[in-house]
Amino acid sequence: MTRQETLYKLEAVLESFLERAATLEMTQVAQSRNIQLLGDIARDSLRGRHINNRLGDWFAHNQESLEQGRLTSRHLSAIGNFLGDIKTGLDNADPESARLAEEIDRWAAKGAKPVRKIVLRRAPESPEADLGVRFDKLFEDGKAQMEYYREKKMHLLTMLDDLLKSAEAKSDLMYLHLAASIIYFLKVTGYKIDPYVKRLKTIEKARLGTKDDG
Amino acid sequence: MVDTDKYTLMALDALARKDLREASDLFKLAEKDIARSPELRILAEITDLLLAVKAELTAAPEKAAH
Repeated sequence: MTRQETLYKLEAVLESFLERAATLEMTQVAQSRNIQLLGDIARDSLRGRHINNRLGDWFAHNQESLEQGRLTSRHLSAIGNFLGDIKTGLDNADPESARLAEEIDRWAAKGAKPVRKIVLRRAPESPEADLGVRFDKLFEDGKAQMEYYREKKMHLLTMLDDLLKSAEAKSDLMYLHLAASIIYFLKVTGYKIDPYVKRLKTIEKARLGTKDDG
Repeated sequence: MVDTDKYTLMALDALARKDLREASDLFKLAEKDIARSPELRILAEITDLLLAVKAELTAAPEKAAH
């Protein structure tokens, strides 16, 4: 093989490699960006914001990748974690949210399952034990919410306002429970709490008027 | 999107269009991504290598024949 032939051969091999590798890398980068987008949706969901439309669009946009097995196990785990977070905030009394929860279950069945927070528990032996587990869950979710606020460096009163807004918009008891806890803390440390108590009572009344999912 | 992500995507897009010169320039702007991704570093290096091979073939094809 002459030097020229060698160079032409090298040129052809490098061109072929670059074409395939660039396409693959582009797909990987695009998938990473899609997962980051789902992370943004999950964070907004934890803040009590309405995310149904964005989540629906995300499912529609990524459906093909799931069906054609283009997602790696690492991607599926990350997606599963975010969808798990989102599902805890969905109000199943709302038909649209219930449909999204079903779609989350479908993704989980195809491998997008949360891999963190693996907690092994004995099955509840009595209604009291079940109550304890439910309270633990409430406490853990509240702790995660406080960590989120701390990352955002939010003031306690701003947190309380956000929690009350979330409690008003969503059925998850965690928001109400955490808000009540902060209000009690403010009371014992001498803050004026009347406006917050009034808001809390209004939300409680509205909840009792609809359903009790706590 | 931060600039480095943007340049990486633009470089990959340039590669898909077979615009090697533009891809090479954009990879240099995406230096943070290149530093943390071995795959991207290989792509950037092969892009430069291919440009060098093409330059060699274009500049002196008769020299390359010997």
